[in-house]
Parts: sequence; structure tokens; C-alpha cells
Amino acid sequence: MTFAALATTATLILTPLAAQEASEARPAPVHVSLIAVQATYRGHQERKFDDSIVSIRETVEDLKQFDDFRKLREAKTVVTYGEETKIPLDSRYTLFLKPIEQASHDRIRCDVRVHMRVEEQEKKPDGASGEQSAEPKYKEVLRCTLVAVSEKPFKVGGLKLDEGQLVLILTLRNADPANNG
Amino acid sequence: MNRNFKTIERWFDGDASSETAAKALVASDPRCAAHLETLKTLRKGAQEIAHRHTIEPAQFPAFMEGIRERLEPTRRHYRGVLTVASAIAASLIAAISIFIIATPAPENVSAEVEQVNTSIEGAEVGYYNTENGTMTVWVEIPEGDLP
Repeated sequence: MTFAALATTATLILTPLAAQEASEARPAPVHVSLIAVQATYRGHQERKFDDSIVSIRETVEDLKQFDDFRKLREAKTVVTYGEETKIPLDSRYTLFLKPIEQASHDRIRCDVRVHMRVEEQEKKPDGASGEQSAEPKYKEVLRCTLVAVSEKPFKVGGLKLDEGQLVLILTLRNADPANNG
Repeated sequence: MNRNFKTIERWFDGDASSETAAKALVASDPRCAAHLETLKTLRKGAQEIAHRHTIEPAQFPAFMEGIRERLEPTRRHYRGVLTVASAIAASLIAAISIFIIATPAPENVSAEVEQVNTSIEGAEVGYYNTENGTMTVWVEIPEGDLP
């Protein structure tokens, strides 16, 4: 009877501890929310936003050089730590985002990279000239490592588009609500 | 009446020929007597105004002491204002210092950038926090260059 009681108590204590350890070993994945915007200046009296991205108004408040914001791409995805997700933004730019580690209960260290498609203009060794190769080539034009606060948006921008500039509004969130403080 | 007053005034100013007539008028007419008294009062007042007070060397320390006594209450007043102003300034400095020391790092900052770079030739990349705490990484690309 005494042994059974001890075994039950030990199980009750050890099971949550083991679960917690397992949870710490494999942190919950990260929800990634992206809004890619084309920001231009068109001389409007008031700033204009596409209806679906009015929510970014406060986030881009400081970008006084633009008065017109149009959505290029909106994406939501879930990425595990150590994995890199690839999100094409337009025909030229592609975003790569990799959560590196959970820096604290509500902070996520991550890598943000932007690649740009480059035109293949070099002559091939056999003498053929100017032909596009089958696989487009990309060049990393921006790389950033940062610690993002869960559920708070940050932005990356300045890359040129045919018209205006690219602005990315990114929000990361720990998937497990218990880890969000 | 004016003629009688003028007779008295001439006598008062030293005209001996008017003395008999003037004395008779003063004795017989109370208004003429009152006028003579007024003239005497005016003369006395004028003489006192004309008298110049001088400060002798022996009186000078007392004279300066009087000036100091008049000035000192004003000095005391300014000293009090300065004391209060100094106390307020010291309190403000202490309060601001405590506020700066005790205020934790801004909690509303959305991210902290650890490293950032670009391979675009001639471009510069930097980062800043906006007033609402939004971390912003921004690439500045020279005009005309693509990207």
C-alpha cells in the first residue's frame, strides 16, 4: 500500500517535469505573418492604403516620404525553429525567414533575408550569348538577424521596385500561447 | 480788498512807506490780519525749502547705515526666492535622475537588431525604432541604382 502510494506520487511529480523538459527541448513553432507593400509617393492629400492593409497604418507612420501603400503579398505560415521558410514577394524579390531560437519567453531570434532575382547576362563558355538559363539566379540583397518580440510587428524596407519601394511588415508569434507570457 | 492786501504785501516786502497804512489795515480788518499771517507762513516755508542740509564727515557713517537698513529687507527677500528656486531645481534634477535610472528599457520595442548588412553596391542599411516602438530596418539605395 505504501509502495503504491509512493509510486503514484512519483509518477504525478515526474510526468509534468518530463513533459516540460520535452517541451523545452522542442520549442513550439513560430507563426509568421507577412504583408509585403509597394510604397510610393503619388501626391495624395491623405495617405492611401489598400482596404485589406489599413491595419499597417500605424506601423508605417514614420515613412513620411510615401503616401500610397498597395499590397503586393500577404502570407501566413508556421515555421519550426531552425527551419527556413521561403516566401516569394513578387517576380524579383523573395523573402527567407528562419527562426533561430526562442530568446526568451516572448522573444524570437530570427534571420531575415531578401533575395533578388538577377538577370543572366554573362556569355556562356560555349559562345552562346544573352540567353536566360532555366534556373533563375538570386542574389542576397539584405540580411538581418534580430530578436523579435512575439506578436509585435517590425518592418524591413527600402528595396526598389519598378515603381516605389518595397516594405515588408513582419509579425512573429510563438505558437504555444503558454509561452507568450 | 485787493488794494488793501497789496498795501500789506508791499509793507511785508519791506516798503517802509506803506507801514502806517498796512498796520492800520491789519488792526482794523481781520481779513487783512489773516492775510499777513498767510504771508508769514509762506515765507517761513520757502526759507525752510531753501535751506540745504549737508552731511558732515562725522555724520557720514550714520547716513550710510540708514541706507543699508533700507536696502537689507529687499536683499533678504531675494535670498529667500533664490533658496526656494534652488531647492525646486535640486528636487527636479533628483526626480529626473530617479526617473531615468528607475525606468526600465522600453517594453514596447518590437525587435532588437543584432546584425544587418546588404550586398548592394553603394547602399547603406540601418535600423531605428519609431515613436510607437516599431523596429524598422531600412536600406538606403543610391538614386538610379537597381535594386
